[in-house]
Amino acid sequence: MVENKGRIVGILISFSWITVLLVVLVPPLTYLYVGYERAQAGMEAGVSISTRLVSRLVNANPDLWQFEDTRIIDLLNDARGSNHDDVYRVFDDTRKLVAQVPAEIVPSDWPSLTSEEMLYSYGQSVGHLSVEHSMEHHYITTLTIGIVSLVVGFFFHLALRHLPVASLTRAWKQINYLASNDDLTGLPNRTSLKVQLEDYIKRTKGEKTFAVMFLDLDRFKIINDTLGHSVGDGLLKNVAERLRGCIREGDIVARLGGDEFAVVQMSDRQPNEATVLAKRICDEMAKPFDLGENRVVIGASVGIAIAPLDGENIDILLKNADLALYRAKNDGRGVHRFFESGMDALMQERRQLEFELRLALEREEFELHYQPQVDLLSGKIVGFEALLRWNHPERGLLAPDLFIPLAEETALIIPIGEWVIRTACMQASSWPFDTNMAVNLSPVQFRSDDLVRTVFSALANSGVAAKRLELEITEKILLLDNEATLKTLHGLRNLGVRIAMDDFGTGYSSLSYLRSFPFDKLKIDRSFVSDFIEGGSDGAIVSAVASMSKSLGIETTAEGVETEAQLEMVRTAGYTQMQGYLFSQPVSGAEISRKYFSGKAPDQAVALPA
Amino acid sequence: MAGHDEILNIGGTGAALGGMKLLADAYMQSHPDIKVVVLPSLGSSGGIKALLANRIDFALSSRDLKDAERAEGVTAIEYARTPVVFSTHEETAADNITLEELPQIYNGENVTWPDGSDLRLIMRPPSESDMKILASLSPQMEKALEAALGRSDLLVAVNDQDNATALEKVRGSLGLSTLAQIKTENRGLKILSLDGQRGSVESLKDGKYGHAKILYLVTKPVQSELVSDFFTFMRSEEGAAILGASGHLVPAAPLESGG
Repeated sequence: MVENKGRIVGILISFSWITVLLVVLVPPLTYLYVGYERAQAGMEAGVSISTRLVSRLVNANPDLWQFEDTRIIDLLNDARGSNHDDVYRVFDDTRKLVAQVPAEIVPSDWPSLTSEEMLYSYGQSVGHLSVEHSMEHHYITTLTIGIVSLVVGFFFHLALRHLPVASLTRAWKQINYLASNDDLTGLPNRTSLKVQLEDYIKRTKGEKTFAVMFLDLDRFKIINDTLGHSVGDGLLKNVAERLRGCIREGDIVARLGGDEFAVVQMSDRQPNEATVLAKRICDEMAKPFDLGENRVVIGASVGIAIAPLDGENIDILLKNADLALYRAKNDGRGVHRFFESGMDALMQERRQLEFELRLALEREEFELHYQPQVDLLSGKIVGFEALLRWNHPERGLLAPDLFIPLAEETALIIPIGEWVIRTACMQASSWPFDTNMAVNLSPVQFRSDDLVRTVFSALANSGVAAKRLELEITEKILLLDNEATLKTLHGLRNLGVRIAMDDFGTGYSSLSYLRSFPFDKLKIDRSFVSDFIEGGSDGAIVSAVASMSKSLGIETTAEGVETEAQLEMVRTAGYTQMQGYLFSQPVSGAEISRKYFSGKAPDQAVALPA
Repeated sequence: MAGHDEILNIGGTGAALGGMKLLADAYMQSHPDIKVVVLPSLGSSGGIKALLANRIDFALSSRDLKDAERAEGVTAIEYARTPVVFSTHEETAADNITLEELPQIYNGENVTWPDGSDLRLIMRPPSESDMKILASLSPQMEKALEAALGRSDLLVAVNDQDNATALEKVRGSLGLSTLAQIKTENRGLKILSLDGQRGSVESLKDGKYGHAKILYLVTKPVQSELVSDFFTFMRSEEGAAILGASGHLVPAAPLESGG
């Protein structure tokens, strides 16, 4: 790049000099040459004409013509015309001056041109006529043109050399900056980071210890997709600013792309210093970001590799930090993890799983299990929650927590989720009309514009009434209180389906979500029920949620009811429905049909066991 | 032809040459041993310079001496004056020209004769005495003459003889000449009256016609016997008769120019 710049600058400079030389030299030299030629031609013509005129006079009076100087002067004046730089002279054969035009001449040191012609009378030479042309005016004008050309040349020089070279240098700096820095945040990019680290490793002969941290922002994609790219960009700038505030002089912060950042800590007190810094970064990233009208809460996971222990070159260090990051994300996000040997194998395993997940739909390896939801007043089954299982050919039946995060990460959740909705609706169509079907939705599905259409199509194809379908969403979907999400929710509601909030109580500001959308049902998280101890705080929360929902006119479901005591607790608290192992664990659709609807019309309900 | 003992060289203004040739011929008749050579026109200035350079014995001038010339020790004596006349080609219909018409003719506003035929002005170089005479006719004429000198469409005759020849040859010509030159050189020219007054020795003499060219003899302080003798002949009855018959008004007694 630098060589190219040098070559272009060289060409520019050469071009500039050639042009400047042409501008400075051509006009005055051309004027000088053309003027010289014209003067010479004019002089020769003047000599020729005046010689002819004077000769006529001489021939009329060959003996005493030289006394007719007055007449000769008239003739010379005629021939000279307006050529004021010319001096016409007539000499007799003794070279004595006979006549001169003009009569008075101011002596001049300027060069002049002279042209002469002999005067003949009847074959005899009687004298000669000369015309002297002063080059004074011509040289002065040439000099003036030269000075003007020099000034113009100077401006050409500025315009052709300095300005383009300056612009080129600026552009080059900009190109280099853009090539090595992230345009949005101004941080060094991946290339620049690698170059800096390679230099550092080379300089320190790979003996210095330092930490390479890989950062990934939690929930950035959701914010970017739902609030728009400008908000996403603003968030990245803020993140970059906070990261700059976390590091010390000599450390490096770089943006590797998307929501991935890297921090290099040039300290040899490792892993202690890295631990402190990673915690500080996680803490800083967990603080809310105010982006105009939006206040968002994200978080960051950090993976750390320590040089030279975890790798001697930058590529290996970055790869290992990335593996550590993956571990951090899997361990619940918002935490940091150091690279450990064996992580690479885990990553391989993840890649294998992703590959198999992509094939699972085609191979029809997914299946739905259904867990009954029971009305606590009537004791009747009022519906079922469809729960996804992956019947892995080698690993057997896999629970959702083993593959849903990966499906969400890779967006495979969108086709999988569609399959779930369609399958659940088809299943519901074979069950009694008063049994509802609950289906879980992933936040990622809300990024798809087709969600409402998919639900409508599933209902239409199965013939199931919309009111029987209950879509369960988590607080994550509402984490960003934005128009697009709400629009989708209202679109679903307009179809006639019911919307339930799942895992209620595990998020951040649960109560504010209830205000943002009129949910049909709240499902209190199983942890409140399973951890129930009489007189404990969980019991108080369970009761509070029930009474709040009652006053809001919202149905409530208690999940994870496994014991009689828990059943009694939720019943007492006023929950309208329950689901849990106490009644039934999730089972296949065939099992449900056989167990509850065998020989019964679709409109017959089943009772809660005594 | 037998050789001559003495030669008298005369030169100068073309206006005087014709008359001088007549005098020379008459003089040589009575002085067969003397050859009088009347040189081609040198002009007044050229004649005086030739005299100062001892190339001629006396000069003929149609103007008075300049101070510089006088300082050289020469003297000028008026020996005759002749009417200055506007003349034209013989076939020109017009007989008269007026002072009022002249400026328009010289500045180029009027280029035709009253009958519609082309009027072709014959000019002289600015240094010639004819130009000074024309300029003195009126202030309008002086201005018109400046315009005429700037014109490139006119023939400029270098000397009096060329001038007379051009007036003779060019149809519809108009130019200045002298009665003496026309008569002595037998020029086939039509002389125009000016403002109805015809230029003649008589009209000049009785003051009816005021435009004349004075002819001077320019001599050195010490004159040769031959020159003195020729002058005597000029002042003789015969000489005066020759001049008088050829358009010259000869003064009762020759007048020496002041100085």
